[in-house]
Amino acid sequence: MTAPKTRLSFWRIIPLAVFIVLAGMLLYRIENPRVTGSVDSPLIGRPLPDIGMAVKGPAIVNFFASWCAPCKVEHPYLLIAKSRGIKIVGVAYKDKQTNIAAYLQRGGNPYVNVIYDDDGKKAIDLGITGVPESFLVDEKGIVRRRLQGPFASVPDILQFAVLP
Amino acid sequence: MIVELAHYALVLALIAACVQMFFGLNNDPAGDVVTNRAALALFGLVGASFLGLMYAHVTSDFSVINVFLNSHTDKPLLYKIAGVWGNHEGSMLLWILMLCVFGGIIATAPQIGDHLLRRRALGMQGFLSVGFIAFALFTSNPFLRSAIVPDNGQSLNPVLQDPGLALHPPTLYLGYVGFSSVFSLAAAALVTGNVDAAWARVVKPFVALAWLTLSAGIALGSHWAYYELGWGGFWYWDPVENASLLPWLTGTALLHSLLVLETRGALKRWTILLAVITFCMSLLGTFLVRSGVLTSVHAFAVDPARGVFILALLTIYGGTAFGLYAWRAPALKTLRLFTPVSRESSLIANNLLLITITATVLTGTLYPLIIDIFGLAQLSVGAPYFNATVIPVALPMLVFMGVGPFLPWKRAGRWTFKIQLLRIAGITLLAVMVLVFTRHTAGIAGLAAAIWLMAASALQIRAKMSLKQTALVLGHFGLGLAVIGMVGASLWKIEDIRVVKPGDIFEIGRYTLRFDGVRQVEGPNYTAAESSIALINSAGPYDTLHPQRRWYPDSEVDTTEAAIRLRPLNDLYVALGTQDQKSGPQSWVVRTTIHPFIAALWAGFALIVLAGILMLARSFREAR
Repeated sequence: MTAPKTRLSFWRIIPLAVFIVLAGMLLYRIENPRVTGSVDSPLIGRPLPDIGMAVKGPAIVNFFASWCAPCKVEHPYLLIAKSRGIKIVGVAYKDKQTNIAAYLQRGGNPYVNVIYDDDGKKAIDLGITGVPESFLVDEKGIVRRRLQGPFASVPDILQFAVLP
Repeated sequence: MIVELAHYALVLALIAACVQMFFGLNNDPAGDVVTNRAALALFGLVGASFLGLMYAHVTSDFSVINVFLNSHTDKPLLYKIAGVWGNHEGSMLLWILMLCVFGGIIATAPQIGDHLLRRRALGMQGFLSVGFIAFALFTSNPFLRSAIVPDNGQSLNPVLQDPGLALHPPTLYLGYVGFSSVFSLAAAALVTGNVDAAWARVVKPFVALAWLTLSAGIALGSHWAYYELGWGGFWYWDPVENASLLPWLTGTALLHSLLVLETRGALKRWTILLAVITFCMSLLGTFLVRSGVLTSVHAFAVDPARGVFILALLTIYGGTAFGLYAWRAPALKTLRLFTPVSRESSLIANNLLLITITATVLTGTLYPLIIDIFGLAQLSVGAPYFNATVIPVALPMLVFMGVGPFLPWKRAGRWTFKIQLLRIAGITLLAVMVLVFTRHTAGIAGLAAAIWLMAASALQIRAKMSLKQTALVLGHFGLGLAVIGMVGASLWKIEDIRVVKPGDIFEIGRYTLRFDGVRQVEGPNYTAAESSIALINSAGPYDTLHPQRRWYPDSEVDTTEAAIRLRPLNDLYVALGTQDQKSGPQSWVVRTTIHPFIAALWAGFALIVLAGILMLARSFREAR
């Protein structure tokens, strides 16, 4: 048996490089647990774009979907917020009405109203990057806060619901 | 006492794994015997350790924390046994057991003629075992005792109390971990530098076994989600489901590139790379499930220390293998002698499409993570993304799969397969003409691709077929059948949710149903509200369904037990929801679904697994 030639080749390093970047990302993610916090958005201080119904606040507009795992995480907090008198308008993102009905039947319905955004156009108008995502709208229909990702706790959502 | 012995056996196993790794990776040829014996000893020790944990679960020894947290005296024996792997610590031990089973197989497999390859592969397998046994002992020890002995346990998650789920994890793990042997053999081959047809024949049974069990595991999981979770679907693109799909996709690519390597001696580097990637996908899946970095509907106890440990293992093993690849692969020379229209090219096309799908699924699965790293929050892209990106690549792949097997190796000559191609196209065209009335473009495209593949596979049936050909026909035909099920159940699903009172009659699809009320029934460790729903026609009731809603007092959880009436063309799926107090004391929410062609999905899965079994049988026969 002849000893194999051993030399590094640029192209053959690519899998290793991709792998290391991926591992680094995963490590970063473990070492930095997620922080929930509102993000700046050009929408803040402006009227809420048309989502198919006039939202009279103070109210939370919550984008969700039955296929979305993080939504299931924040769902109990939404229910508690509802029981504390917070008005939440749900926007079902790219989902079927029957799926949403089953989802709310199973988990409870925290929404005063559910608006369907089957084709995701409303999400585009509001600049949504994924679900869940929430907006706080005041009594004049102006967007005051925005949160990407799920509410992490009950205090989290209660705090979010207070107008700044 | 037995628990302590099992614990010590695991500690001894760590030592045996170190011996196996050391002698296996050392250059001394005398290490052959030591490495082999260490691998067998390791298998024996881990097996004993696992049996010890099973004993603690079966005898309900609640002084063991793991048993206390996951078992209960009321639980039926089957679920006491399944409870061993129904939790993080026990399932990790099962993972390790599988790793050592494959170590034992490498040590004894007669088809490995090259001693150096065997020793190196066992060394790698020992290297893997050391890491995972250390992981179990230091972060996930199932043998820890508590000072106080509780009267009874906290029970297994009732959702997991199901015969399907007793089988699902071991089958899936056999697949996941089965690829460890392929990984070890690939790494060993990179060191020895001999990647040829002989190596392909050595590796093939391992790939076949891992692939077939992974397929079966995914099918079982999908079926479990369909009837137990009560969501009325078979696939949710959940991170944990994707974690099992990723190694399956690369494993399928590997299975096919191995054919090219075996027959033509080509695609050496690519095959090795796929072997490494596939096991890394298995490790990534394990990491995603256990670390909790992604939110999933599958709950597992989450502990950041464990996540870091598994990530470290993933990095060390993946880094070593990819590093070896970067260093040694250039020495692997391949002669490429085939034309664009040949069996080889079609297999390469299949590989490229599979890898494209893998990359798409991986991106979607890790998307929340990537978004998070750039300072945004945890989000989900979910089913709409996957459906939009995977299906357009998967459909052409089905078409390629139909054509490929007709092409001869090296070159197509005078396009001898033209007539066959016309026949397949004819059958597909006929089907499309029938389907046009549905006016559903996506549905027609999906069904046409599936029928194309099934027709192409059926046309290859000959009076005398080798095992290899039979496996090919069954596997491809099965996938076509499964696609029909997927298309039908996703696109033409009919769903109905309503509140009913006893005596209410309602219709769904072509069925008329009558709700006959709910009664309380007692199970071994639950109580259930069992409803009675009659299927009626003009002559009266002809069948009755009994969906339940179970309440498990020990763990304070309720589960939905849907009733399913499965027929070849569709099913009738009835789930009992909650009691609806607003509409009256006897009112219940009932959800009814019809999934057209869902039986084809399960039949297709069964054929795919059967094809895997035939492949395994064939590679055994060859090895002799």
